[in-house]
Amino acid sequence: MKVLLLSGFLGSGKTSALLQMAAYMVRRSGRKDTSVMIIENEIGEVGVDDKVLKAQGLAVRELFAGCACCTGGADLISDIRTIQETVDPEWIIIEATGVAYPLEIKNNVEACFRIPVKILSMADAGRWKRLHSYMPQLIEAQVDSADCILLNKVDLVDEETADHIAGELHAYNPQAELHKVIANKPIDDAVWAFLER
Amino acid sequence: MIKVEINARLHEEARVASAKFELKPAAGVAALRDQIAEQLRISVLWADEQEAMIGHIKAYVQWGTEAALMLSTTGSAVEVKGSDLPSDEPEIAEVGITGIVFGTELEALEDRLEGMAAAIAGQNGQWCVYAHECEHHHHDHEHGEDCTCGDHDHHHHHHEHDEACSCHEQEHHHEHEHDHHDHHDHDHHDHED
Repeated sequence: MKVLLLSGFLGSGKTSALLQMAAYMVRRSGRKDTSVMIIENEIGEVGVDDKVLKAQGLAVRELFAGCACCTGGADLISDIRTIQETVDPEWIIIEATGVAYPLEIKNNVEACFRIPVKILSMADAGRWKRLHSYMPQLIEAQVDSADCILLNKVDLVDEETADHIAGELHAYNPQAELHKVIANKPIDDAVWAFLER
Repeated sequence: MIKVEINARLHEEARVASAKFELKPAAGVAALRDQIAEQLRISVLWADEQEAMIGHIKAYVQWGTEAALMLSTTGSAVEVKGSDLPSDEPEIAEVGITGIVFGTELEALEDRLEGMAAAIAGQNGQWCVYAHECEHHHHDHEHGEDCTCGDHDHHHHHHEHDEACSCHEQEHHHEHEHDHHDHHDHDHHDHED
């Protein structure tokens, strides 16, 4: 069982990317029915994205009313344990809340399960400057521990701006792969290759 | 009458509130989708007036067990995703709204969601009662008008439903049903039968 943590601020395109990434995982896997299990973490009581994911035929477990990086951490571990024991999928994708600190989640899961957790982080090109000036600590924390960063919504900015943001992201995390994407359009399978490494 | 469940909480700087209810779409799911989209657009204007920043405000419409639409805004355009519209209009649709906003009071966000629910219900010929679970103090609290309680875990004891209150959680928030007009001093929508 492998674990991927999908991180990124609110509205950065996590769910849009997740749909494509999950489809890629299913195509690559020989286990059609149990290849991917999603844990959808919502900080509020009401989940929205889980409905869309389920409507697309994906297996989703809800983790609501708390953030998995802090108040919901114990529930996350419990959910992963249950999934491992009952479904044992090839992949668990944890879609974090948009206000989560991903490293906290990664450390928690790795400590409990001794499984390496990959982090995919979404950055919102359209709102990068505003979000970064408003809450720099959170925004930087969401990218500096990522294995792969998708700079999304590059269609909302000009090429120079996209390149500038990409440069900032690379400065925060020189080791991460970085791809510019538009997540509500098809993403090239090559982007997901980091999952195999 | 529609019963609207409202939840509100703080998470560091984020104000988080959600509302959930069921209703009969008077003019079908497509019209309901458009009504919700309009409320999201109004919420963007509201946030601008508050000088607040919208993290996201999302809503879903679900009918049956598999079909759902999702609408969302991060402060600009409203996006719609999800299933195709139903060929047979459902008797009942479930609507959920969740908002995460920065730079405003939790109570203000809660009021916004109540307003959204009231407007959507009104457009479908119905009115709302609210059931709250929240982590903020009310202005008419027994601690008085001078209460400056800023503790995020502040809980209220004065509630007229004290006898039925079953406060048992560490953060001491109360779950109650009430006519929201009775003891909140913030603006509410008048309902018509």
